[in-house]
Amino acid sequence: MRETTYFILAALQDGPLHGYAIIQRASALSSGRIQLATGTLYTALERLATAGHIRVVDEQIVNGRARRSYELTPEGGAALQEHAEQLAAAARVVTERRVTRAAVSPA
Amino acid sequence: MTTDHTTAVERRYARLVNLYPAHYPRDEILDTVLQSTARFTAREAFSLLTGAFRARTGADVHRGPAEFLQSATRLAALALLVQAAAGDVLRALPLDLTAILQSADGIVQYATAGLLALILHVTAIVTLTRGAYRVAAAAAVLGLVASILSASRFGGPWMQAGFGAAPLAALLAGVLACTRRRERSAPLWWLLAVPPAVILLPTGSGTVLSPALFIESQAFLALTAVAVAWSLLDARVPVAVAALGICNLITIMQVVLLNGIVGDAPVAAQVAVSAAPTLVLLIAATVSRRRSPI
Repeated sequence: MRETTYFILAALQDGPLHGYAIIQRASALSSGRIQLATGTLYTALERLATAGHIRVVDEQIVNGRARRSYELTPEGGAALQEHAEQLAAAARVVTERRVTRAAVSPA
Repeated sequence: MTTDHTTAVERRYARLVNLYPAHYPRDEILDTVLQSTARFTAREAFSLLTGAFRARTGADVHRGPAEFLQSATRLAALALLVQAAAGDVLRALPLDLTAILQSADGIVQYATAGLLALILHVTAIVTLTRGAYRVAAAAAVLGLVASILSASRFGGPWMQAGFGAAPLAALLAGVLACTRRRERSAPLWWLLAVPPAVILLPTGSGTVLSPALFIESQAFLALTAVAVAWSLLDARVPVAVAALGICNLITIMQVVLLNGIVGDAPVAAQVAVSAAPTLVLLIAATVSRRRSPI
């Protein structure tokens, strides 16, 4: 799973969001590292929808334009969780080694 | 910020958003981009352009490894069918009328076979794009038989430039016919590619149209460069162009092997140079598949 995809899915874990809210939430969750352009977001949403990771849950008319909200599917949630565990395991390779070295190093 | 300015920005973004296919939520995309920025920026414009391009070319769909391989095989088969049809054009009856009238050795059957091969290869292109893989495979196999007959006029068909396209296309179409997943697209662009392919791809057109000899040798390099650039958006495209490169390489290898000059350094170098674009394309496809930003 790409980092962009990971943060789009992570943005949806607390509930459905529309396009612009996903951009803002992904940016906030990644401390500003992921700045999604609109075209990139909608290509990603299309791919995630065809993969069954997200689905359209609501459609409202705002300022005369349709605005759809997207939510995580159970498959999308499971994929996100699995990837998060992989990242955590990879992080532990470094963080736990640092702790171990600190514990065994002579005073 | 004035209302006029806002309207102008909206209009410029709307023009780009309208490039998306109708099934995309165009209104919503425009709404999102206008919420994101009040100015017309190159970054947003580029992302909308590439997004629309991906959507139009089917690169926006999630594909696992097996699905990617199948979709890339389909594009490769279509590219090879275009090259095979372009080769048929050169050998087909109405186009070769002068030679038929001037020749007394009965070449009509070869030219007729060329026309039949052209019809069958065009049928294979149309049916493959429409998702009728079995019909496409049957048309490609029959087209191969007709191609062999028509190309026999010039001696061994297997040694002729670009002839490998017909058997490779038949092989790939046969493989696709054994799969269950079907993809559909419009055949128009593939059919429009046939006339320029007569000169741009290695079809042997250089023997008939002398400037084509130079164009053919350079065109594949240009095509390779375009496909490598395209790999940033869609990893299937370099695979399809690599199939054309493999077809060209098969012809070169046969010439080398049948002439018994294997081991000759300049020949080995020539084969290596001929293989280089194909290798570059396959590397570009692999890198693109692994490093896709989405």
